[in-house]
Amino acid sequence: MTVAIVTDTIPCIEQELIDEFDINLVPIHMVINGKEYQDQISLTPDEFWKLYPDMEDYSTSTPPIAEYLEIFERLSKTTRDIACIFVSKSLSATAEVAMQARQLFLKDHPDVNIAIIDSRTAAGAQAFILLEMARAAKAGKSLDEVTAIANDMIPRVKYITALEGLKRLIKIGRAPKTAYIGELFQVKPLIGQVNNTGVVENLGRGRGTEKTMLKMAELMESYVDRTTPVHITIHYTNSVEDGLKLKDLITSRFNVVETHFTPYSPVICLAIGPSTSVAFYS
Amino acid sequence: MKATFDGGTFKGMLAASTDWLEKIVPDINALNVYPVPDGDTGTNMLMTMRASLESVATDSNGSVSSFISAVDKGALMGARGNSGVILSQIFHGVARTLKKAKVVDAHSLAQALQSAADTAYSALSDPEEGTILTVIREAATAANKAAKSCDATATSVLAAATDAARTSVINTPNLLPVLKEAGVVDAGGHGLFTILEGALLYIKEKSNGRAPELLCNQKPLLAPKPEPSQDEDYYGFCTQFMIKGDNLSVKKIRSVLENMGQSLIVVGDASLVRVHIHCQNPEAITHCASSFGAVTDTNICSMDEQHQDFLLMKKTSLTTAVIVVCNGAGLVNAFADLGATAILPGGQTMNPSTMDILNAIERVDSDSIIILPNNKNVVTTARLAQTLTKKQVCVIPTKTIPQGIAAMIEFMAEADYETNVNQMAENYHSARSIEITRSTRDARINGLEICSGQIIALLDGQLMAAGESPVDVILTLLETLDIAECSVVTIYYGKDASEPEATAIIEKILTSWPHLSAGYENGGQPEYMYILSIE
Repeated sequence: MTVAIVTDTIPCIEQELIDEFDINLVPIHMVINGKEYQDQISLTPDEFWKLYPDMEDYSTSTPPIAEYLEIFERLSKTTRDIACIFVSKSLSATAEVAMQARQLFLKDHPDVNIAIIDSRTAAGAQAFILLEMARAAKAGKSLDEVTAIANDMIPRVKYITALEGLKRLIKIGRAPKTAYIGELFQVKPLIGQVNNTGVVENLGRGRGTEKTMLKMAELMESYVDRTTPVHITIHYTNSVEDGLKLKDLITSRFNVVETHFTPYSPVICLAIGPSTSVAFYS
Repeated sequence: MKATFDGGTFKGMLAASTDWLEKIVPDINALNVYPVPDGDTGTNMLMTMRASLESVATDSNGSVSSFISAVDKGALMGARGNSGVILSQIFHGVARTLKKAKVVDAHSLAQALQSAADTAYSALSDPEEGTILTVIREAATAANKAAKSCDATATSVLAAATDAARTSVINTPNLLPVLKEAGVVDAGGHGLFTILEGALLYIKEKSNGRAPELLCNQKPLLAPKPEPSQDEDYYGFCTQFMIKGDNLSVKKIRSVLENMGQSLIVVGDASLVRVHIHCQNPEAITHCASSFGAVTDTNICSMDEQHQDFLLMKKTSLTTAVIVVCNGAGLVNAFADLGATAILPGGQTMNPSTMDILNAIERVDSDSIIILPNNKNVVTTARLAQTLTKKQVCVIPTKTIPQGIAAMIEFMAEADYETNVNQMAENYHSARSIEITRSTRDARINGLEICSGQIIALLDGQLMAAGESPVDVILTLLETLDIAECSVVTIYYGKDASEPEATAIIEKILTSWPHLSAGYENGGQPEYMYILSIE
């Protein structure tokens, strides 16, 4: 009996890995122009970008408790140990709602153990923690061991993202406090989570796509030596080409031993707009 | 002839020189190597003189030493632009020699002028001949020679210095080829000559009813000189603007405006007229002027109030504050959005004074300050202000708006001062700048034959192309650059440009260089139709 793994739709990992490690997703919800969507379930990235030009009114919301309960219920039929890793508490109430769901669920299932972990990060960085937990679970590690692996990974994972502007993040209240709203042509705000603070940090600005990517690589170099083996995830939004450019740049500069290349999920695209991102740990 | 000058005489000379200079300011402004509507040497020198005059107004001591130390301080604090800073150094040199003098004789006046020349030269890291420096040096040499005469007086020494300055100004094109090619004399040198001449005429009591002489064969703005104002004590607003249009009549404009204020100067041609007037109601003047053509480059400053205020963007305590000098609502917003703490209005046509910059330095809520001058003239003033404060100040010598933006992009509020200084200093060079405007006169520069009113383009401050339309000159200039190495072109369109034209320019650029990212912003800058940043 292995530890079951649960997460939200923020890590944006490949479907093959979801299938391989039997990862259970609780999708974040979105309301776009009055219509509600479940991230990655009722709205794929391609569909999202078709809606994007006419997207006037939008918001995100945590999954309802019922969706957590449904997953816990289903998993409890085959396991007594469930490990959940969610997006940073400072960015979303996903983990908070999960705790309420756990409280309700355990009343009827006192023999089930549910660990809820705040990743203190998001996206590809959260995915690295998730994958290490999933690998450990598949290898037959206990819930305590899986949790310890997550806690070991949390301070090691980082990501750097280049945006077109900060207006979307400001609208949903997630922009770094010290970043400026300026949306000058081709001035790309750089944000990320590199100091294990749990909040989105201001990492400066770049000008133009190529120079901004170079700056992302330089920033990454302040955390990872070029010769040190590094695991990377490149995320893209509406430009696969930009994602590939960033991937080529990072793999040419660093000793990359593991690479993932996936689009951001619609809920992240909704939050930050067009962007490219590199998540990494060594 | 006065054998000696006392403090009262000097005070009269300073006031007379300032008035004398004011009469020729538009012409000195027009002595631009480049025929762009941004000449400001005369204005900068006048503002510096006025600051000195204001400083001595409260000095009732009567001694030369007290007077000269007030002049020194006033000029230092009020210096604007390169010419203003050099003028302040000339006064500083004079003050060093005369700091203990009660009266000044021929010998000490000559010594003071020599000290002025030495101080002015030593203030510059790369002194250039054919400029105001040559003029003060040759004036000092002549003064020393005159002082050796057995019947030398302070007046005869001043007369010798003035004569030598005149000759020196006329000779500047022979020392500086760029002046010769443009058919002008050095503007700063001319300003200095006019100041000396104004002082001499005061002593000789010969200034009444006359106008200063313009020492230039090719008068840049062909127009009759205005009659000297009968009311020089008039205060209110110094209002300057340009009128652009077709078949403009200088005579008609002058006749309409002459009853609306004092010190009216109307110069120009059928397509471009420059107006200068002292008035109480600037809006009424510009409204009236708009019936003749498009009123642009409006510059209104209170003559009672020397110091400009500045826009304080952030009031909270900051690790590092950034003070930016720029003009135009769009550019102000851009810098503010990128994190500027204070914006000082200024640029090509209106340089902030040392005092303006110092005032901003002292008022921002931080002890560590970075200044982005965004103009070559303001760099010098900012560096002078830097020496006058106890706060930690770094002037990143940005000479164009694109350089300023490139530096500002590197600024991070949470980074420490040193990191910000290093990042901004390292990266401001990454932006090349093209500025588009209309020629204010016929000229021949850098092998280009330029007609008045023609579109001209400056690349990093150097006039490099001329043509009939902005898009033509922009494309011509871009073809000379290594565009393959560039990735982003941003167009800031200004007061006399339009968004549709900016869009059309971008389409043409992208047709020729499809690899570029090209876009536009509304800069609202008054001086240039378009500013292009090429990165």
